Amino acid sequence: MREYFKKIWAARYFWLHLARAELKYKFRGSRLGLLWTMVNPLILMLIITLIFGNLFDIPMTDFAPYVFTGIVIWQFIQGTAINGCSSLLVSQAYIKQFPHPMVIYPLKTTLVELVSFLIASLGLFLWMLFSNPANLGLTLLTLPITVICLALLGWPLAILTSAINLKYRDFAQILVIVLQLVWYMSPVFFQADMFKTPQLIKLLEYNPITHILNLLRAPLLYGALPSLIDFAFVFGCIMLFSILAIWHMRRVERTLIYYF
Amino acid sequence: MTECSIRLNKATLLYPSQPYNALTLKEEVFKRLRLKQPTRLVYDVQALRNISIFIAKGERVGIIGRNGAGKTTLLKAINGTYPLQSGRIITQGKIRALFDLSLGFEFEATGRENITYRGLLLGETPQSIRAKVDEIIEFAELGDFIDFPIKTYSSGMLVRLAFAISTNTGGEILLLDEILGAGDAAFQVKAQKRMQELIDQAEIILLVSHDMSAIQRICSRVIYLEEGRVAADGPAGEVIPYYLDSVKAGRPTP
Repeated sequence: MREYFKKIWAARYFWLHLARAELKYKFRGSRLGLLWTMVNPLILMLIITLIFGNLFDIPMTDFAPYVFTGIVIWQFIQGTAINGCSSLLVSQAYIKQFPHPMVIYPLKTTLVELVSFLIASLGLFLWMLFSNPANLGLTLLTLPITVICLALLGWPLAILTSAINLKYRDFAQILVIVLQLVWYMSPVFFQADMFKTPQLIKLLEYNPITHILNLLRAPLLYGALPSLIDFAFVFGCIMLFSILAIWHMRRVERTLIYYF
Repeated sequence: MTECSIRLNKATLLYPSQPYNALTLKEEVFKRLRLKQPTRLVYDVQALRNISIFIAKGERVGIIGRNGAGKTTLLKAINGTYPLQSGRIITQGKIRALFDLSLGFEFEATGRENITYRGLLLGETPQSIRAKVDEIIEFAELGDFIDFPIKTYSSGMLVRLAFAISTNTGGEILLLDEILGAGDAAFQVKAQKRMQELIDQAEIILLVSHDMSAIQRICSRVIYLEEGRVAADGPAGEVIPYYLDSVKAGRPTP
């Protein structure tokens, strides 16, 4: 195990470079370039805020940052899971040439998504600077913790989806649908008081996504630290995904090469 | 001075048929539910069977055999690309594999960036590459094209770049799948000189080739593989004639 992490560390220049290159070429030929990472969630937020804000009659000033935080976190989770699926496939030329640990390719995806998250958050912070600057200081203080939590969550998640998708190429299609379902079951843009029945509220409380979202929402929207329960849920998810990823890779990593 | 050696102990490598027999989740679910027996399309391929060899420092080993005998698989197993089914491969020394040279180029990136890419893939640091970039560019004879995306390159330019990058650093153990040559006549002379330098530097050479004269010239020891087994292993002067005879005798290929 330690030996394995040493190998990952030894290849750090390589996967860092892969991540940098992917960010660089993701928006090649486009005028706004990396700025799209910021503009895209902003527009999505405006659409949802306008439609659902009117539908449920919620004041824009409260709803907009709520939706915005929801979107930037959700896009990270969705991005690592979906783009993780293809991370091994698109790197097969490297994998066939040089036996680096396989997990560096999902790691690259996680890094790319993490940078995208930070750029998107920049838009969020700018928004908050004008609408509600009071909570921004605390948010920036807790941001490193949030980023570390997301990284530890995203990497094993991407490892799992990449390994499964290599064996079962239809996994990505299924995952898209599953994620769609999770999105509707999570308070990404639904607010807690839209959930009427006790069962639905229970569902919300036990949904880890709620607590992952709170990492950003608690400081930014309410000027408070995320609660211990939030951290417990996030930590539980990290442990669960990590153990699953380690267990799965130990079993299959050596044979994955045959599935390209 | 580092010790260099390759030891294969009863190495057996199987290309599993599973990836080609069951590919989709749907089929997997149907199988589990016993609704439908999966059709077995192909069977496992035994690429290496119980191979035990020891290669010591200073040896130049040629690997010969018919197509599909497991020559390239042997190199890739030693390189660590393909895992063994059973047995062990123990290598000491830095391995440098020269095959699939033009695999893994980023076509949107410039030639210069691809040099960095490739170097990092092969375990260089950004600093150590910077020191070598100019030399590589000069060797590849790309001039100002080095700052163009490589999707604009001609195939000859690509091959020259691939060759220049891949042969820039040698290793203690050199794995070669056919002797590499590239480009026009003038470049080939240069390429051959470079190959010779790499071969001279390396502590151990493993060369897979169908070119018997190249094997004769470079290798002292030759291993003849047949159907994944070692059919003969000995001095080049003995094994090559034996191989040529058995080919001529026309024993059926597997």
